[in-house]
Amino acid sequence: MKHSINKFYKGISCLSFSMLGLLSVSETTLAQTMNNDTPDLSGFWELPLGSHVIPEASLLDSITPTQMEQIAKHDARAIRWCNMLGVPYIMTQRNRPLEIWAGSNHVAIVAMTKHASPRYAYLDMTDHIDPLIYEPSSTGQSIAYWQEDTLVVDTIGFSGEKGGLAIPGGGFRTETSHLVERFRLINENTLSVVSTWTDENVFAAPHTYEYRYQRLPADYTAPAFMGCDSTDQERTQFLEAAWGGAGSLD
Amino acid sequence: MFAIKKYLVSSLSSIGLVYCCSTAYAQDIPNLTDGFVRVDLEGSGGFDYLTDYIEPAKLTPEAQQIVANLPGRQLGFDYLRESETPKGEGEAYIVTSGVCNYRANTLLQPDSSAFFLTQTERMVILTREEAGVRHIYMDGRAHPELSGFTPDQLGHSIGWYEDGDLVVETVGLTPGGVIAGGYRTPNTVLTERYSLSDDDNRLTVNYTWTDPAIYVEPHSYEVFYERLPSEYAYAYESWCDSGDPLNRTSIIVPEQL
Repeated sequence: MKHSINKFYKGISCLSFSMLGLLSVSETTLAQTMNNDTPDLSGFWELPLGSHVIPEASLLDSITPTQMEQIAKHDARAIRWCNMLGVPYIMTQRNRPLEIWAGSNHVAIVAMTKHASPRYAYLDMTDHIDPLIYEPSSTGQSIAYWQEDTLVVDTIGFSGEKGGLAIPGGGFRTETSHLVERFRLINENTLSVVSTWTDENVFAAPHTYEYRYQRLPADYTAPAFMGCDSTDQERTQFLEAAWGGAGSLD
Repeated sequence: MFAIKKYLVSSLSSIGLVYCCSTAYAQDIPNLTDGFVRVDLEGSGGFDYLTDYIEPAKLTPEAQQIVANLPGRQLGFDYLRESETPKGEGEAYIVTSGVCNYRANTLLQPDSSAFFLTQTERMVILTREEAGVRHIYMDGRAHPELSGFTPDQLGHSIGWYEDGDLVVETVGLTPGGVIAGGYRTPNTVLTERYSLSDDDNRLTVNYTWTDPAIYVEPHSYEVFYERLPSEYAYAYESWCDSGDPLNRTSIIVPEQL
């Protein structure tokens, strides 16, 4: 094992000589395998309190307070039943670090909690999956590309029912929502994610907000999975007392 | 002159070293970033027979006793309990508890639905189409001392590349059953070797469980997977809602004509 690790690091140190410009073949292989030629977003990211700018969303006049109450009740029910909450929840939760792992053909965005279904942003797709084929999901269907130093993740295919629907600043996601996120390193240890939602059925104007994440140390170890027990009666009573009931679909 | 000569020798050595090392590096790292789905090469005929080709684990007498006392399959649902008694019109076959559990074991050994590997320099992750992440540390770190480690369903995994394969070593697992009559404790070492076929599309994973307290000889077997087609293959979301009564059912018997 040590032999291999040594070989691995020897390989990395060899690459530091790549200024000689003699590595075209192997660099291609590395790039294909590891996606090494772009800013290094991979790692564990923590979302500090107050590390965001969230203006109030400009909603359509047709969005009523009653509708927003229904969304809040819907989301309370999703939490009570331990549903995967999807996007935007995973980007805003602080239960576990946000994890970004950039592979050669996709970027995985995950968190060690029962509420977070993995996001896969495909670097090798230029178009979204045909909406006639893709079943709307809590995370939507993401394609991604690099625009200079910024990873742009473009997502459609959201479900208007699955998971948590509320969007920071107001509004909610529907099947017509479109989200564009711009991931950019401000410095080695600070990641800015600027999210812009558009939805002709919810927003009067594009709704943009920003979260900034702090990179956790390289030797960080992932925390244990944060489970969720929908059969826990105490938890159920606590949640239903707080939110006025969030029953099943019975 | 001497300095120039020295510089040239140094540079040429570097070039040689760079070429040599980078070639080796490139060859040593398989491209595993993708989705994979299990294939049944044996044509086993059903989920209950998928592992019949695996040679049963050879256990120590003490471990045989433990495995003999493991709870058997729970026949808790209509289909299994009363498979000979058909339901009436409008009645549902209840097939699960309806509770959406965290299925960590499928991150350790994927079932028949797809799994995804994402490779980075310092980490390889294994994910599914539902919540949960398995971390394989590739940064050269060692396992933690087990005396200070709380065992969990995924344990602690480190990995490295060896002869073009990804090798993963895991310890710190919670006690429990292993395929083909095996057993594990936090001290059991699971070694996985991920090998790609020459065309990169067939993934063979060799699983070897080693623990002298449990196994007379290492319990080793292979499971086979195929890479998802690259063009427009994508991860599905395996949706599960414990609050939806339909989540417990398979079919509701329709009106009979």
